[in-house]
Amino acid sequence: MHKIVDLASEESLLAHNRELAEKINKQLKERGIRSVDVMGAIGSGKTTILEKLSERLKDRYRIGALAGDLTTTIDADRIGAHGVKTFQINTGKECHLDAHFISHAVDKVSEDIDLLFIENVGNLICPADFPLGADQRMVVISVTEGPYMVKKHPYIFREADVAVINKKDLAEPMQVSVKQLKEDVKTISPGTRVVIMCARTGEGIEELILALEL
Amino acid sequence: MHEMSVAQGAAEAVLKGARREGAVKIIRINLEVGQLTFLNPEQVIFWLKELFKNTEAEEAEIIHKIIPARVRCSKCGYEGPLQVKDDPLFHQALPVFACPKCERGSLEILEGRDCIVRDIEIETSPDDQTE
Ligand SMILES: Nc1nc2c(ncn2[C@@H]2O[C@H](COP(=O)(O)OP(=O)(O)OP(=O)(O)O)[C@@H](O)[C@H]2O)c(=O)[nH]1
Ligand SMILES: [Mg+2]
Ligand SMILES: [Zn+2]
Ligand SMILES: [Zn+2]
Ligand SMILES: [Zn+2]
Repeated sequence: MHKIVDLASEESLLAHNRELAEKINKQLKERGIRSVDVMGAIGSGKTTILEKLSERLKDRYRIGALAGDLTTTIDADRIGAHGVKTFQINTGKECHLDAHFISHAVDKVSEDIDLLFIENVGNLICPADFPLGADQRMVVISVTEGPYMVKKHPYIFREADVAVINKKDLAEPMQVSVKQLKEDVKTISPGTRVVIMCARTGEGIEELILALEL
Repeated sequence: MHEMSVAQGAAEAVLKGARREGAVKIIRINLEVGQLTFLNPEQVIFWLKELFKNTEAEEAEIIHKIIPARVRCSKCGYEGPLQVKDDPLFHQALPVFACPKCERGSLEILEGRDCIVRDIEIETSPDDQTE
């Protein structure tokens, strides 16, 4: 006998992730922890920005960081060098962090933290599909990835509350227009705040702190 | 990218549902992929076929449908599809995340963010296969 079985009410993986993310957000809020998910291209400067942010904010917040390195602790160690408590998540071969990873990691985050940065895996595609439950999402790109990074990855910008265009110092040699990249973000996602930075020197860090309302 | 983990979730739903209904064989699988996911349907199907090897779904036909995005504007109340801009630079048409009507309100996504198995067609009794 043939039969049609309706499965539409079964939870999809993506819906499941979103629900878990909401739960995590609630948990963090209850513990008085503000959280920022830092997404962005590989090598765009996510860790450097977190180092600068930590340095600049460490007197006002008790900062913790979760770093989603594939197999190493390099990023966690770099951020940790600034007096930040780091909690490593090794994602293995996964191309993004998901709420399930975070739900386990959150249990390890100690009680005395009130600001938590989560460095996502360098990737402009998947993280858009997998919110982690952070209060804010930030995406970092740099001019070294070329002029079409925003246009080619519109979804992640639409997901982001704040977009950083980093390595401004290299815009000229790379012949990439920072202004155009900013306009691209504004076209795709008018509500996203754009900050132009040179993370290496710390230029733009005050604007970033304002944009994140920290 | 993460097509494999999404396929794993879908394969689980298919086999669980089929077994619950007493399937001996899964004939067809109707997959729905949202326009706003980053999933490449061909890749999801590739992984599904891998995962279905040596199961009741091994020979199933997998059909997929793209579910267009539907949004609601917080300002003017517009409800409907997103505008799509054809940028000659890209081979892919990009959805514009601004309200097509007032261009200012923030948009809530109602549909198009998921990848689900809509339904499956199964064979429940081995005797009945010759029809
Ligand atoms: N010229 C220049 N280099 C920068 C700037 N910001 C970061 N870098 C350099 O870019 C390289 C990558 O920086 P990271 O902070 O490790 O980048 P990331 O995004 O964390 O990298 P992954 O985690 O590996 O994806 C390092 O060599 C940084 O020193 C900048 O503003 N200008
Ligand atoms: Mg890093
Ligand atoms: Zn678990
Ligand atoms: Zn992924
Ligand atoms: Zn509107």
